[in-house]
Amino acid sequence: MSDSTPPQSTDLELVRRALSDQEELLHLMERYESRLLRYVHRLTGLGQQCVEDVVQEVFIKIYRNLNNFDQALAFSSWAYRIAHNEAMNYIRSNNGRKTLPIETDDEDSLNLADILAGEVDLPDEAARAEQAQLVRSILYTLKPVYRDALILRYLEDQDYAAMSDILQKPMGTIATLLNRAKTQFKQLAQKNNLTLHFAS
Amino acid sequence: MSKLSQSVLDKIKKEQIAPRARWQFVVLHCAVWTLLLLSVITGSLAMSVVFRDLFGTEWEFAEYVAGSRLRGIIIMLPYIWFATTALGIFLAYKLFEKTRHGYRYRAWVIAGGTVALSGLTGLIFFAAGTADSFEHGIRQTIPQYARLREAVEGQWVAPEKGILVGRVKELTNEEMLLVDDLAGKEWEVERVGQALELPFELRVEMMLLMRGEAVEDDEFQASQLRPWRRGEPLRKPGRPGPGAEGPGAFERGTPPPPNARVLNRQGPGAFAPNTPPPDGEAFNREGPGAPELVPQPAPPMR
Repeated sequence: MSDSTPPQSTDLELVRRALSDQEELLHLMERYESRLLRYVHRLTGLGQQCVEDVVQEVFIKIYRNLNNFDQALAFSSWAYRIAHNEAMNYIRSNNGRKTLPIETDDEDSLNLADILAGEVDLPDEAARAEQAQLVRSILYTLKPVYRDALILRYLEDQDYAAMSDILQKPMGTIATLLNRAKTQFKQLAQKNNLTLHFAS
Repeated sequence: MSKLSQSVLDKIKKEQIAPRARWQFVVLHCAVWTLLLLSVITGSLAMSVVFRDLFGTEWEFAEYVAGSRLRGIIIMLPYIWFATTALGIFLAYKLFEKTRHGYRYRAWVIAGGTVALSGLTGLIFFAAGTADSFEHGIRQTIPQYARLREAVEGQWVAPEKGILVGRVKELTNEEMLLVDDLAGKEWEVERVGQALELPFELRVEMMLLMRGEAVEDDEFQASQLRPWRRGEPLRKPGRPGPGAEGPGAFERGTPPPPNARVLNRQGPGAFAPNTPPPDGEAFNREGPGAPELVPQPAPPMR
């Protein structure tokens, strides 16, 4: 089982093993659990328990559809795609329900701001927390599709090709989406007196 | 092992969840591609009928039917086939998006490709004459459609406005012919003026558009003749036409029996009544005893 699996096994090898032995799914889950939990949390803003429920469903779907895994894709892109769809379904089915994270995600918010902005002036801890809250508020004010694009690109560090596979949109559209997301983020930031200078 | 991973595994075991079989996905992908292919073919066939109607209709005569050319064009345009073409292309577009890697292409590339493919295939179908047999099949299958088309095409039977469309039933002599109009009424048509010099071969069973005037209740004097929709045969069943079947439906494309090709000329070199000409159905034949109707470029019919 897990102990006998060499850590350097590729995702594809793990997929093949999981098809013949469900226990082998454990290795895939261990490899992607934290990433998917973090991604779904960032995207939906749900609390820990709800995020775990969503990700549990993601892994079940991954397992059910293992035979449909397209080897032309990276497994991570496929897993993110399923997580994206599941999270979006959740957002749609809970339309109107507030999904801001209950617990603070200051580092996430500030990371995003740092990445998007050339510089952000953070004089002290209180201002830093306030700034993070503002960035997070702006992020969750964006349309989910824009929020998703920013999260995938700047927090999940996905490249355009991977984003294309995850969001199932052509790469040109991904570039357009990101530009619009950044523009909207910037406009909202300016309205909220948060000065950001976007890197190209 | 994390709590989450363990709960997933427990759920899989408890609910006996298993990966779906590969063949199910293969069937799904094949179904998408099959539907996509069917959509393209449907769009192409519909487009071929559009081409046939657009290129085969004598639009310059539309003003005689509807009062003005624009109004005539608006009345006669094949809207059903425009809509069917659009539907076929739309479905093909949506289905291509659902293919495994369809998302990698931009919308305008997929849309342009689908339109181009349907248009090209539609042109091929049109050139091959598939549009006629396809549309004929639809008329036979869907009576409502047949009635609608007959209502639209029936507007071309307007002898009081100097327009008549019908099937050549018999070439009585070089000036006279018998025609069954689209409503099934028999007309004795006399060719005068430009109608005596035709740039095309006149033959029994061909569809003709005639411009002229009704001189009697069943006599029409035609000064202009044009092949209607490429002259393909269109029969109104219920009438005892060769090969006619069942009441209420038109038939296209069925060759008439040999004894239907008649040219009842009199005098030297005339064909005997109901005897097919030796080289087939040509009216404008050459050689001794040939009719005097020799193909000549006709002046523009205006």
